[in-house]
Amino acid sequence: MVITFDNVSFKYIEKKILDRASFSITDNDKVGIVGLNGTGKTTILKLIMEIEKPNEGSIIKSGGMIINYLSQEPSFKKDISILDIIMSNSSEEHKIEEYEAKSILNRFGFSDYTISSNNLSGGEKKRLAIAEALITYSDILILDEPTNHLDSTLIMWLEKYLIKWKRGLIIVTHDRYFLQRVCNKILELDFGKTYLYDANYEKFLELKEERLKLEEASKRKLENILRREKEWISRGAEARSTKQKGRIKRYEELSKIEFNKREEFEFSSIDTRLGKKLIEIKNGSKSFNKLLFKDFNFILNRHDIIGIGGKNGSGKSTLFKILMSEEELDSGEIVRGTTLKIGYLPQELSVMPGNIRVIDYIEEIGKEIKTVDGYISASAFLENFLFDKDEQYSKIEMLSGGEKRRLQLISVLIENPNLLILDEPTNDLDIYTLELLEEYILNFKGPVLVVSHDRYFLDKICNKLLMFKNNRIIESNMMYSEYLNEFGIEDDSETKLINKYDRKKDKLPTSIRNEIKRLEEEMPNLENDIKDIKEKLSYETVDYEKIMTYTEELNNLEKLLDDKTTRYLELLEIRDEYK
Amino acid sequence: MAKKKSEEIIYLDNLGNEINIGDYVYCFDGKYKSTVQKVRKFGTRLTEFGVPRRIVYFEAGGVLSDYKVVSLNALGLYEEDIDFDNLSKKGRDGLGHEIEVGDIVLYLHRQENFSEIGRVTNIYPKTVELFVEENYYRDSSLTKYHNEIIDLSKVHLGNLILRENREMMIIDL
Repeated sequence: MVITFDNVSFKYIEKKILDRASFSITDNDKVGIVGLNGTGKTTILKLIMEIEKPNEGSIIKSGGMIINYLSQEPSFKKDISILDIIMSNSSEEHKIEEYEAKSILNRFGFSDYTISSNNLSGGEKKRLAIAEALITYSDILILDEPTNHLDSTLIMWLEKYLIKWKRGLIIVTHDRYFLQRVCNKILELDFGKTYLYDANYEKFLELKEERLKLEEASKRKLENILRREKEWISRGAEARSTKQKGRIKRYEELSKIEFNKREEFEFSSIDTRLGKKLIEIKNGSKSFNKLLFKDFNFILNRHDIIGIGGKNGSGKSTLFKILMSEEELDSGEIVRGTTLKIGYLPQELSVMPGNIRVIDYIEEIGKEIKTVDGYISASAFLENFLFDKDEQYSKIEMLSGGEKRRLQLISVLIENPNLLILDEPTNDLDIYTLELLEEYILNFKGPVLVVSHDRYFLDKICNKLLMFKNNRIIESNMMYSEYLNEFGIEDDSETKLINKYDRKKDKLPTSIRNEIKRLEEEMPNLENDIKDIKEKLSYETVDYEKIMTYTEELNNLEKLLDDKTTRYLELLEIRDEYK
Repeated sequence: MAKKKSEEIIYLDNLGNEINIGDYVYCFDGKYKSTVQKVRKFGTRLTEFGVPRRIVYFEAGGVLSDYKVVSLNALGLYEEDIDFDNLSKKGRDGLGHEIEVGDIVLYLHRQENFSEIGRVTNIYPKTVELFVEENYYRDSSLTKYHNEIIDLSKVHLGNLILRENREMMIIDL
């Protein structure tokens, strides 16, 4: 089964999103779509789902193809239980068993299957939608940013699930590990053009570099030709002969070729003034309905880039609030430096006035940002973060979700903070903006604290981790993905099981445990002894006394074995009670 | 519960199936926990309350109460259904078969009383997570070590149903 884009063009108001895109996707492909926010990744998905119609060209799909689409903002029927939502996707041909529905709901953290869809939070809706998308039969499954709102455990689970996925998959995600491990093809959107690479993410980066080099070489070649032709024309070429007419026409055509304006930005180090004392916590503890952490000792150093991990609700946001003086510790001491100026990016997209221009919104917060090389204007800073001049003068309501998130990030950075606290900055940002943010953080002269479930992002930038685990905050110098592989996330069921077994062992008296072990060693020896005597008995036919001795010995051993067996079984039953 | 049949004691496994000498059984407890053993003989001992404790003796030398084993032969499984080369390996069940997400599996509940059936929802390096229809203990999921389960899907017994009659523990196939 195939989906084919044949010279598809699509415009959004005046912006050309797709320019004669042609590619095919089969139900054997696992395609990751990459491109800047606002370049039309979601548009491609909507075109496939016929939510949008192309201005030119056609999209051809094999007959009878079932496509399932998980949008960024899923919605459900009202007043219906979550189990019924899942079961409503069951059909004669592709039946969903109830236990399958419950299994997947359970996997996505729903234990009450009767809960109504009306009572779900945004994150829960997203999780339910993924569960629904995974369990419903489809030839091609389309997922738009599935990893947003999932914690690391679920992301890892989803990744494994999709690696094993046997049908077609089209996915838009900023999670580069996800793209690397799950996808076998990458569709790149670049200035309205589409490029389909038969490669995973790592190979795609190599191929893309080659493509850009080629593009650059063609551009130089064209510039040389144009320069020579211009010189020739300026010498006063007379367009009388056909040959000369043709040459002039060719020059005019060549001058029309446009190459994408590709600019590389280098961030100057942000100039900040930081005192010696930043933040120090001594024996800190905090509860919020439940104990979040205790005995927490922590010193924030100037060069720290700290990744913070732990399950949702483990206390990460509360720790941020404590650092920002919005909450206090229950016990312990916190000392904050007087020169600290905190830039905080919250997890949620803040409400921005839609009718204001991007540049005005940013200039209201700060007109310039101070770097070691001098001041950069708000406009130049916006350009550094991929808002070109046209976009700077467009209204905020025209921006896509990802572009708004990027703007929100800029609004935090333009305030010239010397400590950055970023809560899930990677949500909704495209890979290029993420790379810019990574570069920015690595050049930032103050400390950075960041919560993210993006393993690639944390691995790349962090030099330290603070992990919330079992009501404590553990400091680690490992890489985030290394840490997850080694220890998992709190409440990981495997860890729970092992701990549970350990606890049980402690409850069972050691004497019983030792006796069971001793009997397990003694009983086979007794059985061997019995076997030996039986063998001796079978050979002994003359010496009556010996026969009597062997028989008596045999009886004694058998009695002993019986007693030990009985005792052994009793002990096993006692052990059961401890379980 | 064992039944008297012409004065003869019947040895019943955890599923309520009859065990015979020479059967391969999967052990839920004891020294040979989570391994396959061959039955050598049977025996009976009275407990302190005068209730007979029915014992299965294994070729390898150990013993267990009859309800702590599952007879593979009673399920229609024989030597060729056991992957002896892969027993006790990572990702393999108690019979040496590879476990996959979605497989239906048999396991002993943690209270060590009854076999139950679940579906594998996740595979960890050492354990599997099972989805369980609500049972006596109101679990919805459980975690078991790889060799603590028998992957029924791999031996074409994915449709095995355990009746709720725990007295007899009869199975439907």
